[in-house]
Amino acid sequence: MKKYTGPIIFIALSIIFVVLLMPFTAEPEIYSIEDVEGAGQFKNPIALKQISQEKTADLMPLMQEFIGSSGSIVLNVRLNNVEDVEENLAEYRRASKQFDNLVINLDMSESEIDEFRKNNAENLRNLEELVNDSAAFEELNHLEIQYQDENNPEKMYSIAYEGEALRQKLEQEFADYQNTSVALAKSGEAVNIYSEQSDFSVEEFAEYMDEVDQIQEKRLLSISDINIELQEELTLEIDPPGGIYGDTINATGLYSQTGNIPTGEPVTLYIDSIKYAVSSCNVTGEYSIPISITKMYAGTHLAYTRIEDVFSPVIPVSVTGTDGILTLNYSVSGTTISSSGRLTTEGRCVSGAPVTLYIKGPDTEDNATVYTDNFGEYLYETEVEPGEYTIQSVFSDPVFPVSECRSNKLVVPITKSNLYLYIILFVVTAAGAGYLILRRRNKSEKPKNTVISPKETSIFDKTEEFLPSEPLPEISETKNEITPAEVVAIREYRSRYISQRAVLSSAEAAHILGEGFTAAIQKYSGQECSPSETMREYTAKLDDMCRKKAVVFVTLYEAIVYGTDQQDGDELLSAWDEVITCIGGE
Amino acid sequence: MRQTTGNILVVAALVLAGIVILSYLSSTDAELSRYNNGWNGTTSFYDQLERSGSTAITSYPDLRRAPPDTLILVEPHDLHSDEDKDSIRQFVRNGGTLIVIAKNELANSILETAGSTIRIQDSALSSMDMEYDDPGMVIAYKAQEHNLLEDVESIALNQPSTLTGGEALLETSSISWIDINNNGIADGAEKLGKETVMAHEIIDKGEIIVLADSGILINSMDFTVSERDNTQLRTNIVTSSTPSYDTVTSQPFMAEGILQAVTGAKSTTVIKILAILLITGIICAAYARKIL
Repeated sequence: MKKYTGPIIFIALSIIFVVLLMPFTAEPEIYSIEDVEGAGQFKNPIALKQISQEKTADLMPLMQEFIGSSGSIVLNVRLNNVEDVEENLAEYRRASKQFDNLVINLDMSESEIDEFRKNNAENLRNLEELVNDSAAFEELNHLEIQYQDENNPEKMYSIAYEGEALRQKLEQEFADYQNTSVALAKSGEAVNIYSEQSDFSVEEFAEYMDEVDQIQEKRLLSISDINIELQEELTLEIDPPGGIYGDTINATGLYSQTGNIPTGEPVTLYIDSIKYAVSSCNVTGEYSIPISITKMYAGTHLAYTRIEDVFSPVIPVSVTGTDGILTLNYSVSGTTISSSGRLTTEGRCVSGAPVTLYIKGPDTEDNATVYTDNFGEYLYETEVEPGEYTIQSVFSDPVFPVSECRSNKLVVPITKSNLYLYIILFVVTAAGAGYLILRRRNKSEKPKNTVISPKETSIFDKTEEFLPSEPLPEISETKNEITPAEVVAIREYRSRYISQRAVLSSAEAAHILGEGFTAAIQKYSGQECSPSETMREYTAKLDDMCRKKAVVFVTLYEAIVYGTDQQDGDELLSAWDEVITCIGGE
Repeated sequence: MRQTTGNILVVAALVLAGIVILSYLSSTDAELSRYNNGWNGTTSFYDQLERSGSTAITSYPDLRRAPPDTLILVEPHDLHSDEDKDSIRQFVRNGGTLIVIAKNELANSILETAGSTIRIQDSALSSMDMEYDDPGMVIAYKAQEHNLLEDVESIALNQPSTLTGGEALLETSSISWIDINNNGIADGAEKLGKETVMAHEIIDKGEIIVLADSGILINSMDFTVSERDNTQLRTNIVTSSTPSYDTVTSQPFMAEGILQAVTGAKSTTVIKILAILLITGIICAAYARKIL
């Protein structure tokens, strides 16, 4: 019983350990804590990348800054601080761009932050319009003083009319600004952004509008005495009254004047107080100017035409926003990612539109803006480090009547280039080959006094044709020095031949002498005899005197080996002796 | 001579096997377990508590007999007996501090028992302010001063829930949300805003402090979070006035099967002595009968 105690214990232990290890056999891979991202309710911080990301510190100040900047810009507009306005607006644009990048990279496209971003973009557009129109209105004020001095009532009328168009536009901008400010404040409050400054900017804008109204009312009052009813001489119709991106609508009208109408009278179309196009009237005073809806923000625009100092009524043009569709494809060449796609709306290509590509890598976040061509297509190429990248393209520009749109996110794996591997493999192979070549060369350059046994040589004599070649340089005396041991070695072939020729066929016996002949050439002359060479080629390695004797031996040898002629074995041996004596000087 | 060597080898193998089996059976991979040495266990936290002189509460009526200043409960389960409920209630009212570290709503029953209005809302709190590359690894910031938050400005949480009621001690940044659809981004009806993750409430002479994240106690959160004040918070909890830790309903001490038997034996002195005597007796008997 005692004899079996030890084995039984060990068997029992083995079984226990097998049972303990059994549950782990289902997961054969080697366990690493860094591969376990999480289990149950918790995540494993060892397996996660530590990023210590505090984006609130980046986003919140920017959001607060936008609301504050709006008030500053409106205040400076009101105070006509042109330089400050430009500076504030440039800073606003820069911060907006930074904010856009942050929000898109954070993938917060469906949160209040993104709502804030959209409202902010609209707010920026409103402010840009305000700055442009206020500058235009200020310019009119300067011209008004000039024309008053010149006592030019027709010009005064023009000023009043353009001023009226601008006032209407500013009123519309104010309405837009109010709405945007409310929306901006609401989305900001959701993330604890104080919106008092937003209310302040609206109040400033309202006061500015009061000032504009007062100036314009005064201006209209001053021209009320001028009895020129120019409005009736130029009409304007917009047909159709609105459209979407890509539509072409017509601004048509009639220039009627008492007396002759000059043919080709130039008609200028203004949209939002900016010169849009110039055309001319025909003989009947009719004109037609096509309006292509491209870079016209969604909403109401104001249009009027003008022939010198004759103005048409101000007609609203309604541009309706449409949904955009942005596609994204990619291709990879080495470590270069080519991103391309197309922006369309209602089946129409959107050209000249900015498309921003966001490329998020393992440790990088980059973006670049490209513009669509006439087919709405865009292309961007960038060089990246190996790793996994997420790319997305975004179109967002309120100047276009196309709503913001984003492409799908694509994951692009960039594998490490195998170039280095190939280079390493090449170097290793080349080094190995070089080593082998050198080794072989060194072998062939070893001292020639090495004894070669009969077994080490092997001759394959298959080529019949004799190929004469240049005799090799004379071998020095030193090289031809043969040790007694070598002489014995070569003589062994002779002894073997004599002892075995009785039992071997004549061809087999001749082979022994052939091998001895080759060994003698290699050793005595220092020449390498390749197995691919023929016996006749071996003879070419000898000097003239020995070659002749060698040719005699080889001729006899071939005759016996190939059976072309019955030869006497003694004759072959005699020829062998002669050539060996000649080569080795025995 | 050869037989003696063989016997020594057998005994050594037996001892080694015994150690391996015992350590295997007395460990577990259950998350939050006090016996789990892995990344999601809580051995380092409880070791730290024990090193600081904390005592284990194995029965709630003990709180009446020798009440500690502070009692720490981690993911406590529901209390069944009225006596236990009364003990907890009295402990707080008599001036004790009850620290509840839990993210599951199961702990709400103890809070209710203790008379607290703080409630845990079991939810997937996420934030753009995160310590690790996972929106659930939320960074929380100090909302007001408290002795537990001395030298603590921000901590990293691990899949926390949110709290309602009480006064906020730690809260998230504004760019945080409850990730209802669990997709890692704020979308749909998921609103951004600050969320409370640690709150306290004064009840009579006592205080209740609730931290809605037991994940901060797991072993891997102990040494990896270098950028935040997690270590300081743990130290503050451990070194707060004479803390005791609950082993009755707290999840880290919930053991089943063999683990329960082994851990029970390890924690009972009489059983420990009996086990040692039994093993010694077996070895002596084996020698006496010349089995070994």
